[in-house]
Amino acid sequence: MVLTKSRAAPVAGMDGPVKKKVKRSDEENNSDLESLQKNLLGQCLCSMPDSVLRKPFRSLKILHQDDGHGCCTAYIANWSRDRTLLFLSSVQLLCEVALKQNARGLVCSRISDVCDALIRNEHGLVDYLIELSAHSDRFVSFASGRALSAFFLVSRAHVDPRWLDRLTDNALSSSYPETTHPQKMAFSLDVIKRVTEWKDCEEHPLEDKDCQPPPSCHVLSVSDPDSLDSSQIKCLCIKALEAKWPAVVNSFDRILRIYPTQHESTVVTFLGLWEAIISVKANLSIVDTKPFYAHLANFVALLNASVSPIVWRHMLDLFNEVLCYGSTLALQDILAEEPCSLAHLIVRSVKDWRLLETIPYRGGSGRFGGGTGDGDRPLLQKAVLLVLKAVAVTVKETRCESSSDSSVASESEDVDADMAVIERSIREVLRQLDNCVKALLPFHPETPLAQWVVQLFSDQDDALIEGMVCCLDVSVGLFHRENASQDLRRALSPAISLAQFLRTVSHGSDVLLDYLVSNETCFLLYLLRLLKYIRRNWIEFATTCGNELSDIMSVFSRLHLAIERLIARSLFPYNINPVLRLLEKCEQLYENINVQQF
Amino acid sequence: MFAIMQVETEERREFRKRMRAKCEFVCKYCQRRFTKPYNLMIHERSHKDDVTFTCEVCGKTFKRQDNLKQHRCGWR
Repeated sequence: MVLTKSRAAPVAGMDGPVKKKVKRSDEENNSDLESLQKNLLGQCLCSMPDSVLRKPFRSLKILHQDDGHGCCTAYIANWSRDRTLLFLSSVQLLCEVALKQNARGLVCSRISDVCDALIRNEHGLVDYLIELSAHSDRFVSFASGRALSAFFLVSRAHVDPRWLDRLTDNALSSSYPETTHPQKMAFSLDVIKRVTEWKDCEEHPLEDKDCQPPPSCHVLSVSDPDSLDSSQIKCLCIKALEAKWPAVVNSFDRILRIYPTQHESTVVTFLGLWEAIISVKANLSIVDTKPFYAHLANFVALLNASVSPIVWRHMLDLFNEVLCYGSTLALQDILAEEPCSLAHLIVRSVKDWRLLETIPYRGGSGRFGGGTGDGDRPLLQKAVLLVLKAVAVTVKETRCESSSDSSVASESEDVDADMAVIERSIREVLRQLDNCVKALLPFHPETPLAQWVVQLFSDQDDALIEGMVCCLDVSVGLFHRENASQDLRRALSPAISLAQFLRTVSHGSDVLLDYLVSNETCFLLYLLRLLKYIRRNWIEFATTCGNELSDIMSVFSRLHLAIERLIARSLFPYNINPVLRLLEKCEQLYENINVQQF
Repeated sequence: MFAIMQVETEERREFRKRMRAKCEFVCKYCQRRFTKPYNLMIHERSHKDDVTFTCEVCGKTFKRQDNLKQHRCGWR
């Protein structure tokens, strides 16, 4: 973050013609910015004279130049690239120190004053930062984006809506005939992405550094809870983007259709922003994010062999985020239309348009250097998870609609007929998924899907558990009917998944407890649904587990005791009683078998 | 399958509307609706970066128990 003159790396050839024409009277004198950075790292600006503090902001002047290719570049007059970078990193550092001090409730009064002056736009900083998105040096454009996003987060509710309009206009500003400027677009989208992804309490749990202002500092105490809440600035950014979103999406649609292998980093930034807006973790209101679900279908059609593996990955990440099954959709009684229609489209794409055959598994970054290694396993994992979620959403939607209909009027025969049709489609999708995975990875041809899913995801616990929830829900959703097919029942068997999962974690009940307590996976949901399934289908479960039943039940029993110990010491972070009651019931069922045997 | 799902009768739409009105548990972060409090609790956990475990010696808080254990080792 801190860039000093001696450490700055030269950049080859990007800005040759510009350099020659720029006078660099300040090149030898960066002492003002170096002193600013040093003081910021010490958490206090009280000892800095006002004239030195304001000097770099006062001397800002942006000049424009034609780069000879019809494209206009911007730079700060009389400043070298290194001084420009030093300035941008200082602005970013200033804002980040202010954010951290605000979060702790104690702010250096001078830091606060400087931030306030910038928020009052005394120096027109925002315009300069946006202009620099067209700098011929990409490092400057990037650093400017980081400084601007940090500044917006400090400004919060005081952000001027015109700044946001300028930022979003900048994304679409055209330099070439009939097209947009990829670097400016990446800049604007990245700034909004950084704001959207910001977490208000982002201290690393293992960070031991004490970043208090020195005793000599004149400290202000901040007690306004709004100063910690970034939801307002996030919402303002999203609102500003909403009006331009259709144009932004169209322009990327065109880029991916016409130049599928160009502008990859801009495409990745765009997809990352889209994912960040949709993400449950962004804590944005579903009402505010609704307009961003509108153009997903066009992008499913873009998943083909001509798109690069890195773009594939990010598109899969986006669709996986829309189908937020384990965190949200699995828990809702009525599903929203947007994820359902995406799920239908994925199901159709796999079933009718052979989506899985176009996965660039071998062309991806399976190994460093792009060798002929094992293939792109993470890409395959994302694709498999997406298909499993799409299937689970489709089944869940049909069940929800069916149950609501049957309470209005008796239509249970129609419901069964619906489910039979769905089952045929699902069977075909899962057959193709099974074929695809077994063609790419060395699984035994007889390995049921329920087992290889756990093996495939064994290095990614969140995807693993979400995948298991999907299989469990599809299994429960389809097989409550008497005439459901037996082969699919075995392929999705929850008992087989559980047995493989417990083998993977070496039957350690501590691992299960960690999963229950942390919110990084949807294990609580999985365990709850699994135990309900076991209680309802005890005979089938016990028969499928066979010799492993006692090992499995002893893990449950140890988990039960561990949870009780934590409850007794009031250490369990939420009400776990529903799980405890189910564990007790399942243990009773197991004891009954043992009683019958002796 | 899709032919069946696309047919949405007036009755069905009415019913969906009524079902929506019945939902009582609304997520305070994203306003998604749930019909059971336990499901809302599970969903809301995914919005929060829970700080759950506190070190008895220095009061530092951790998201995961294993991180706390690792931190405790530093005290020994």
